[in-house]
Amino acid sequence: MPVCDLRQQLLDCKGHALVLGGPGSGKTTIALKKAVVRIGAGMAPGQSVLFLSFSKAAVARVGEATRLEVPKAQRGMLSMQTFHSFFWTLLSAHAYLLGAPKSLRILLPADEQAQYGTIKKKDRNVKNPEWDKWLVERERLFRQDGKIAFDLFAANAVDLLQRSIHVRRLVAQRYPLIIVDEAQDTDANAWRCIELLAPLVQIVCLADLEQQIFDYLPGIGPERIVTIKTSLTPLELDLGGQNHRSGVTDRHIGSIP
Amino acid sequence: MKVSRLRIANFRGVKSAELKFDGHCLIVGPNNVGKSTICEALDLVLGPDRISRFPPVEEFDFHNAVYLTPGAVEGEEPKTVTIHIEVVLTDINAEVENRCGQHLEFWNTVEKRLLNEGEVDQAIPPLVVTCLRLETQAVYNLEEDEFEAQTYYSRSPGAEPGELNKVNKDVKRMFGFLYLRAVRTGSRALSLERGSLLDVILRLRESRAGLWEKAIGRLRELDIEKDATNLHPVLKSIEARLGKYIASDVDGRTTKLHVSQLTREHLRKTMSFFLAMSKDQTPVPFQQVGTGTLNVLVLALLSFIAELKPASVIFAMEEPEIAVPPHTQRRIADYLLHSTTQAFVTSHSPFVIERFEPEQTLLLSRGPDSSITAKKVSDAGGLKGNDFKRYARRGLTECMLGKGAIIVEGLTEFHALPAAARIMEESDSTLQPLDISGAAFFDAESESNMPKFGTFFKALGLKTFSFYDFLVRPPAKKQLLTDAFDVDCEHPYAGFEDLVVSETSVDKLWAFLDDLRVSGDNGSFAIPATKPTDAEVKKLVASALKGSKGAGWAARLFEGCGVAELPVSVTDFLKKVYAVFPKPAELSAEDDPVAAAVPPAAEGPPPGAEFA
Repeated sequence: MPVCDLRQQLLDCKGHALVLGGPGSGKTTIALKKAVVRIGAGMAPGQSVLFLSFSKAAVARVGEATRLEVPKAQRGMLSMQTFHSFFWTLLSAHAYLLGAPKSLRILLPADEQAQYGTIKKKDRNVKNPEWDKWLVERERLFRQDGKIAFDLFAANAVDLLQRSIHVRRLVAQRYPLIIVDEAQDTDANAWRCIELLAPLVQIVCLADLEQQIFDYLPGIGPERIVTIKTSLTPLELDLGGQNHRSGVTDRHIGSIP
Repeated sequence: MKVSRLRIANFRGVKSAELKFDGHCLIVGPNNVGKSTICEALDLVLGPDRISRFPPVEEFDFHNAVYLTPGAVEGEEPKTVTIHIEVVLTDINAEVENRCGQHLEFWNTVEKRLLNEGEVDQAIPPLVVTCLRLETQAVYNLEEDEFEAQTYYSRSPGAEPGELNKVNKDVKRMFGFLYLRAVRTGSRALSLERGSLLDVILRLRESRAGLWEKAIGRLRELDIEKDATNLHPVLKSIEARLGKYIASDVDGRTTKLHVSQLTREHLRKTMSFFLAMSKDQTPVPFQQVGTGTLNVLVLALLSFIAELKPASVIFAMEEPEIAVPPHTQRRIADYLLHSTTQAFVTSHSPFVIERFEPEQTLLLSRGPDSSITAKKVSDAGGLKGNDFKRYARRGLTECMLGKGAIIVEGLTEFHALPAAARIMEESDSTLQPLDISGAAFFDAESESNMPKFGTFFKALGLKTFSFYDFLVRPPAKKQLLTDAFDVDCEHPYAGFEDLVVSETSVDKLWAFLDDLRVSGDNGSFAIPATKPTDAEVKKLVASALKGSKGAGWAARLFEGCGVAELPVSVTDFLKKVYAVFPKPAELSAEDDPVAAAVPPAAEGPPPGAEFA
């Protein structure tokens, strides 16, 4: 399929970009094409394009698209990860610098629940002293026992990236282009990570305002798009609502990786 | 990439050692102190092909050859001992950082240590850099009855608890570690075995494609029977006899002679580098060429590697001085200093040693419990880089590598004292000759230089001796000298010449002058044909010695003397030196258990003997 002018702009773009579009408008396809172009422009040994998504399902979906869009030889230079696995890579290598033990393990949600017990979902907020107590314990489990809950991933990744030039440099050196899928759904910490890396690497955000999973949370949704625009001053591309995709869309609700 | 720290446990002569390096490193020290062990240890961790040898280590690679310790109780399984060698690499290039990202740690370049828990705010360049910690563990596998070795990332956050991730050969190759041992230098360089210089060059040039396949193919096609027609009937009759027992449906001949049953690996070992060194000579295998030529060839290959500009070269080379003239030694040293990322060199040669800065020169010594301790020459007090370079060839290196330094303030003493020592040694067989004890004379060129060199040698662990003129000194100055020397000898004369004329008989002095005149060696220095007054003779000798310091006349004067005729101030001083280095007890020819029980005396003086 020939590439329209709009899409060609993205392929040529050397700076940050924001691609808006509804389901099936071809955001993933054009982003993967962008990755192929970037890889074709030459990568240093050990480098790859990082494609960040929220869920394993989304990663799998992009993986399928990759088989169509990315030549086999270049697939090795495309690294598709969930935010969580990306954060885990950072944390397992470097979180000891934040005071945790050198050896880190994940505190699985089931084990978390075993600890905080019967607190109902609606009571899980800072006003509840019981929940507050658990939050303190959760922090202690990370810093002293080296067991880290998923909810602590993003905040600690921000802490590492913010405080160590080296950690920032290592990520940027490895991933000269980072594509953020469903960028409208990034929470404050995940977005902060992208912001910290933005001066060092090229960022392409894919966003769909009609499909928000987490927009009941503060800062997410239209507000995030505004932040992306002001913080990255990206090339903006609106693919509109056109649906090139055959069949039903295959949205998956973000689950724990 | 550079090695910043090396830790060794249970390897060869080393029970434990921790050494830190700043870039290029010249390793000096007495024999058997562990210089080669350090290079071998680096090879075990960084060499891409080293641990794939079989066996990677053997019994004697374990400290005291102990690779098993018996169980505490009878019948209990013995416990294995692990050789453990850890290397901290810094100056990690981007490719290695990208590929080994999960294993990176952080290194504080000033404190020379890893960053610990909670130190994220320090993980900032340039004070802190990324580092990669690698370790090789070697152990005896009881069940398999063989020795095993494996290199791991010491930091392996992704591995199962208690385990570490392995370091692959292709990662090791990125470090560019090359090691040339003192023995077998030629074959390490010029064979086609894995990791030889030639192999490295072929790899860097990517010239190996098809090399082995094509060579094997051509050898297979070589028709041997063609040149040996008499073989044909023999093979035919063998085939006929074979056919009686085993039916074959192969058309034509079933037997054939091949050059050999070469495989790629055979070929690697068999292929040989030939060279012709003169017009009338047919090329000979490199093993037949002189050691010196070989070492020059090594230099040629090294500079070739440098031209190919690999991303990283860590080069370990033992004794580059063997069988090459001084100017080639300097060229090798210059290559190592300028064209490698980091060089580890062991050497006993002043021409090599003088090329390295004192900050790059590490003097090894044995510590307690089979440990190795290392001291930078620059940390050994007093000596500046220029002093070091200037004096390197004037005996400084010989002294450094010895056990004692006898420091004098001028050329006359530097010539005369060794002459006196030789006369004493010739007349008394109970004295251990100083050059065999490892005590060397050193000319500090002036009295004011003496404390500096004394402090330096003392800091390196040598016994220090001084011999200089009497002078009324402020106590602080005198204190400098007393502190710097184990035996501090200020003789009672204002000059060495005064000492000589005062303590030598007039007859001897005159004999010396007469000899000078008769031989014509006196040159323009006038000496009367007949002996003048005693006072006149003394004056003449003093002025002769003062006027021609470089001519070695004081030594000549001493050489004409018997032991009893030597100046007593000189012999008394030398006796103190001999007392510090007594002759080791002779071993009797018979197996005498009592004599065998006497500890060897060469290592050091009996307690208290040196300050008699």
